[in-house]
Amino acid sequence: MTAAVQRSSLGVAGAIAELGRATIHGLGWSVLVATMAPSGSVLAAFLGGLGGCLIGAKVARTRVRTSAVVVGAVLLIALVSGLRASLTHGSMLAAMLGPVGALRFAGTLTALLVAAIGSAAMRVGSRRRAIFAVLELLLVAVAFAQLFVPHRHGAINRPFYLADWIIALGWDPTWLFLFMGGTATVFGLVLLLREQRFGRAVINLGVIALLLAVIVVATPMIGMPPPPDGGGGLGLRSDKSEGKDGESEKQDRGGPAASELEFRNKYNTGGSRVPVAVVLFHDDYSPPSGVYYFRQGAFSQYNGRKLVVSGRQDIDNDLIPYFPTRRIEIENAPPTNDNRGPLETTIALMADHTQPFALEAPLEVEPLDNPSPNRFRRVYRATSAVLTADYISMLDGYVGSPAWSKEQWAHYTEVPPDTRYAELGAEISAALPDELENNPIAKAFAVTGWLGREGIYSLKNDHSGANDPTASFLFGDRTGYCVHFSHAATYLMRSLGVPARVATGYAVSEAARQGGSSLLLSGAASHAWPEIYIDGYGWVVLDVYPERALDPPEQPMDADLQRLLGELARGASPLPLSATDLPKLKELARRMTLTAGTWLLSLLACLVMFLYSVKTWRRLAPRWGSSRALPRLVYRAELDRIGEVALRRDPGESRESFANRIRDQLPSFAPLTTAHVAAAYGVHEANPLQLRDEAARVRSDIRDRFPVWKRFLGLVTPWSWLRSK
Amino acid sequence: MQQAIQSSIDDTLTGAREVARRLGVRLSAAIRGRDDVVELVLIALFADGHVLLEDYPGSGKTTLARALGNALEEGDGTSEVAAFRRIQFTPDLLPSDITGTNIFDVETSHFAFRRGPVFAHIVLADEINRTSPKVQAAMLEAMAEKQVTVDNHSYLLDDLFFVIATQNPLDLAGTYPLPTPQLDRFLFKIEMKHIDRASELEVLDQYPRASLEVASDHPGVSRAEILAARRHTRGAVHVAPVVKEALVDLARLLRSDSRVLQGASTRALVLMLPALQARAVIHGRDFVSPEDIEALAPHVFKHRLECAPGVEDVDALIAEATAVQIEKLARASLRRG
Repeated sequence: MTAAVQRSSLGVAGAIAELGRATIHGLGWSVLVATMAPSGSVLAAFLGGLGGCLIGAKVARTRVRTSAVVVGAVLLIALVSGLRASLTHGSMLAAMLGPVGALRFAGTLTALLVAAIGSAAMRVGSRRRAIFAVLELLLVAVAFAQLFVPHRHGAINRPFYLADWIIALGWDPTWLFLFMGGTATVFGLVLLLREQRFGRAVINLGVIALLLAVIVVATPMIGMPPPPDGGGGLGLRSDKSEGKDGESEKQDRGGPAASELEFRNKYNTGGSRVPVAVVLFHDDYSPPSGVYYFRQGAFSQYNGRKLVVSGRQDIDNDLIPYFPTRRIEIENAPPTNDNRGPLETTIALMADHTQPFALEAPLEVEPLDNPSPNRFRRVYRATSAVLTADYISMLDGYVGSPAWSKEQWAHYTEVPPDTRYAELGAEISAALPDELENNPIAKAFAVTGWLGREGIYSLKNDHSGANDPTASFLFGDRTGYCVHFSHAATYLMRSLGVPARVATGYAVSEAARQGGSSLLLSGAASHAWPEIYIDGYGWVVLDVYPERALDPPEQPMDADLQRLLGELARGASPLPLSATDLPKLKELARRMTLTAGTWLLSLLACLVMFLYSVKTWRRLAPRWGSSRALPRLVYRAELDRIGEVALRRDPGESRESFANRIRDQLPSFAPLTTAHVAAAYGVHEANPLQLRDEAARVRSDIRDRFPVWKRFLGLVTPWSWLRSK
Repeated sequence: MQQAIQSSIDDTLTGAREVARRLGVRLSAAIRGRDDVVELVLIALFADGHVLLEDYPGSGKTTLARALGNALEEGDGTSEVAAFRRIQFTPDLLPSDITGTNIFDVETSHFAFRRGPVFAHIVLADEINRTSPKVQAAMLEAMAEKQVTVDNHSYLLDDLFFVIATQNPLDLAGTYPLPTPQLDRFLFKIEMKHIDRASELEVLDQYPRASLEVASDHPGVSRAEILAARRHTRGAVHVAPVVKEALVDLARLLRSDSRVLQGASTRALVLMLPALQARAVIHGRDFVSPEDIEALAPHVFKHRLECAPGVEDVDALIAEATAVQIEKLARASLRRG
């Protein structure tokens, strides 16, 4: 057949459908390419898909074998990739267009050709055999679905140019994606409704409605995928993955705050790049140490092996004890004066934590409404009295607090019985200049300085088996990570009479903020550090900075992600305000979604009910039909029955030809057909008894000749009658 | 060929059907493996139409026509008109060679008309495309008008004038192909295909006896019987209005198709109606069913359509249009009313 022939038989609607299909092909390819190629290639891919689809439709009408088309397409694509390689590696094109131009040209050409070949092959296949249509659908589905694959460690979802923008506006991208999915579904629906065969269109409609219902109902329930957790090990977080590995791990978690410092031979860093929290600074602040310390827990009680959390009320009570439900003030917070100034921060947690943390030292904490429940677990505002004085000025201070009781003093200066700590401490402090020899703060500085020089930072070590892992580290190879360093420093400082403890939390270099107001905390920022108490300053971080490290340095965090998550957290508002309008709206939206889902489901149920009732009615109609209508009703009922065992009249086939065709499978159908046709076009009344007799014979034939499962499947299919024509 | 169908057919139609059955048996005996062609020829005979056989030499055209003539002759030996005549068309044939001519009778001193070979019940017009248009026109006039005109005097042909014309689809050198308007006078154009293996073997098996001899074992039919059957078929077979509508819609659909330059004429439909009725009778029905349209449409329309250049598959074109109407009819039959 010529093109003219085909066109006239399809008509304008057919041409539009063909063009629409080609456009979808083009869109699919361009979207697929969009994430990895410049705009020129995207356009080329679109044109390639469009043209390929139209070419494919033409080729499908020729006599070229489908297998030849498939093999040819594979070979051609191989050829194109070879061409691309020769274009990019050859020097001729590069000399003409310049290296960038050559690369672009090759990429564009490849996109154009691959899209055209792929589309043409798929179109040929799907015009010939229905199974190939799955490939076409898969192309479009994959192209669009890959946009939504979570990226940046699950913190942001693709497409980032879309999601980032939405996040910056302070909205939840989930709804946008839901809307897009819904639109795509409706589009698919419209396309499928163009289906020529009514029965098939109805089935497709049902499937799509079901899919839509599942999406709408499931999305609010599941939300966006939560970011995977990782890089734990200091007991900061309470996510499931926290502390899952590590050979010394045998603890069963008694309570939510079962945080504990563990000495491990190998510190697991898997997933340590996963963001666990984002901190929004309300004011500019540069710490004197150059590092932001977010304190979560403190360890000061010596238990014979290591430092653990103290159970005493009067110890370490400058921490935030629990996640507040209203604004709370920290009782024993250090005073704000020349040395410490207040700084507000908003902290949005993306992983569950055992305890809240804040920049040292927190003054008050206030819970905030979560602006993005799918992204953040919890959001709160903390005001900290941050250190503004430099370390040198501390030399004039006094360690400990005059208000402390004897027990408190003893608690903070308790040293393991091992005498080597005192000996080493004395040795280190002996190196101090004479004027500082009796200054305990200078001694503490000397300890951290000495550890920084002598210690070697490594996440791999072999001290965890020792009775005193700190001794094994300090008097052994001095190779360990923050837990070892902080313990060693604390013991040495305490042996020199300086009240000290180990604090845990997150430590991030000031540089990581990159001048912005938000700071992303990842699992890798988990840290433990030594602290000393200076009167007038409170607990001051005195961290060890090892000069030598065996591990490669950490990669900086994603700056865009840091900014975007910060923007997202910025939407947080204090709870009282949010209680009035925002949650109401959200609640309303949630309820509406559920209602919509329920409606859809009930609509679906209604549809199924309707189909079943029509089916039943058609089947039972011969029982009460008038004698004039009887041949038609009886024939229709039996036609439904044989349709259920997948015997169907082809379009354009006359009733007698159909009966003749299935004569071998169902010989009793021919007489019934004749009776029906005679009633429809003849002049004589049919004999009801004879009709019923013929119908009964058809039924018994079906019973005898078709397996039970086939008949049963046909019986329960609600739409089977739609296909019997 | 004939379905065993329990029917509500009445007595007059039973008679017509019996005639068709007898003729069918006889023809089928004479020409093996051509039951479809035999049925179409019978339908044309009952519908008072003519057929054009397009076939290769030696495929049994003459045998078929002669068998029909023989069957008639036997049943009706007394008629003054010959039962069967064969005209071999050649380029040098003249119209008078087929119509007959006035000859001067010396005894009566008058011109007397001598009848040509068209004055017969069954006329085999062999290789009709090999003769000049003048002769073709004379032949076609006889077919359309059932009369011949010689020297301004018209002579009526017998009521049962039935022409089986043949032409060779290949070997067109030196022929005068019939134009479409002239083809319109044939009810059917039948393309005969080579018979299947079993039938061909059967033909060889009967070799010692000529096939016509074999056929004459079965009873023949008389002219009067065929004319009566024609009459009854026209009168007693019901054509439902929806079927007529479908027929008209089919013709219109074919005319409106852009692949068709000239569609089927109204005459085609007028000729087709009795053919549908005849087929219904042969299949034991007293009404025309969509199946009849499905079966006859290709043979009725194929030679009447003038297709656009480049359109090769006329059969597919007709099948497409027919399927639309059949589908419409089939669906309508399940609806009330």
